Amino acid sequence: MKSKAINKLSFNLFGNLISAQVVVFVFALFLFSSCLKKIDGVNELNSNIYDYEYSGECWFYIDDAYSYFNDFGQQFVKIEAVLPEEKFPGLQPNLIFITCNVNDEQEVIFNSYINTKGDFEFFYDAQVSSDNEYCLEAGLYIQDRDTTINKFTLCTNL
Amino acid sequence: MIRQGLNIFHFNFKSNLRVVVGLILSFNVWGQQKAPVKFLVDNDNGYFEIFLDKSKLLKLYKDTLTVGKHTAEIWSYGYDVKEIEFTVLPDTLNEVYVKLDRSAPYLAYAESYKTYRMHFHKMVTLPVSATLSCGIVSGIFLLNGYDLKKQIDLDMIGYFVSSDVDEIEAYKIAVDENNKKYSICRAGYYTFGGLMLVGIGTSIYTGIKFRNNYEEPVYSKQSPFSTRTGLNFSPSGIGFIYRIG
Repeated sequence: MKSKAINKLSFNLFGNLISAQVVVFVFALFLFSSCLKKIDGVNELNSNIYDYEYSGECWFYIDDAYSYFNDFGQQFVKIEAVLPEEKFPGLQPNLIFITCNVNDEQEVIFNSYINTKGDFEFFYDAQVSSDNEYCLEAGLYIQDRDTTINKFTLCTNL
Repeated sequence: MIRQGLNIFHFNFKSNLRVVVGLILSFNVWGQQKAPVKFLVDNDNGYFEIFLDKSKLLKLYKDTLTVGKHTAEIWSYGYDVKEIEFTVLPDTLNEVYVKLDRSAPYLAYAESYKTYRMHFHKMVTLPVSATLSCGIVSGIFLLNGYDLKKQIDLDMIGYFVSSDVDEIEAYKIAVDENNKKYSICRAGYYTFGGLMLVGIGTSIYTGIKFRNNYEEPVYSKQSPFSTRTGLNFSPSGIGFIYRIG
């Protein structure tokens, strides 16, 4: 008797079931087409400058280059460069290490502190070049691994 | 005069002698010895009606009847009416066993209802169930996919804000692995979701076809005694009404 009652109920609902199915069909179609889309950028995780596989453009720019004489009367050329905030990850440390050299001179590790703009500045005192061209090569030094990654070279004239 | 018993509260002793005689007869009836009777009706649905001595409709399995011979017609939904005779003995519990026989119209109805249900299952239950199954599987893929997407998004944010090379590598590996799982979820979602859409379309089509082509068979549950008992008796046995004539 109970199963018959359930059957009767299901048959009474049956008429509404078809119209409900049409609604479900439209809803499902809408839902179906708008879910689980491909995630953009998954295969392009190479924009962090601390990524070994970084494939972006040069992450620093030369801000200034000028010659000067030190206290001993020797002439040098100071190449000043900046790692701008927009090139750097969101969680910025206070200090980063940058290796740099100009015209294949001796490489130094520069301790660069974050400035008030959120940028990191570094410089290199180069010997005067006869052709007046100064090429700064810089990379990010990874202290834990004692290695430098993502080296780039930018050249400038006085 | 047929329903004289109903009018016992309106009679006048001086003007209607026949009523008085009837009352005396009634008191004589009430004065007869009675014994309990239990009806053991063998049927599937547990419901039955007993039309006792062509005058009293009983819907309980137990009653107290006057000692002596009685006749009864017993009916239940889906069964033929069965006429029996039994004798009520004094000072004992009388048990009357009756096995009812299925009626031919009911058997025909049961057969047609079975066919109807079979078509219903084939054209409605099966496609709807398959559709629901596909929908559930698709939903599972969808939920898993969303969880993975959430995790991938978090790992990608972690990748962009990190300045630790080890952490960055870990984020990249996690994103890559989760993206592979996500792709499987997408494939599963679109496959089963597509099947679900096909299923919905099929269900609608077969459902409409079924509704247009098949009608649920009906079987009357009308008691054969309902037309013969203008005065129904309460099964509790409180009221007694006799048909005279």
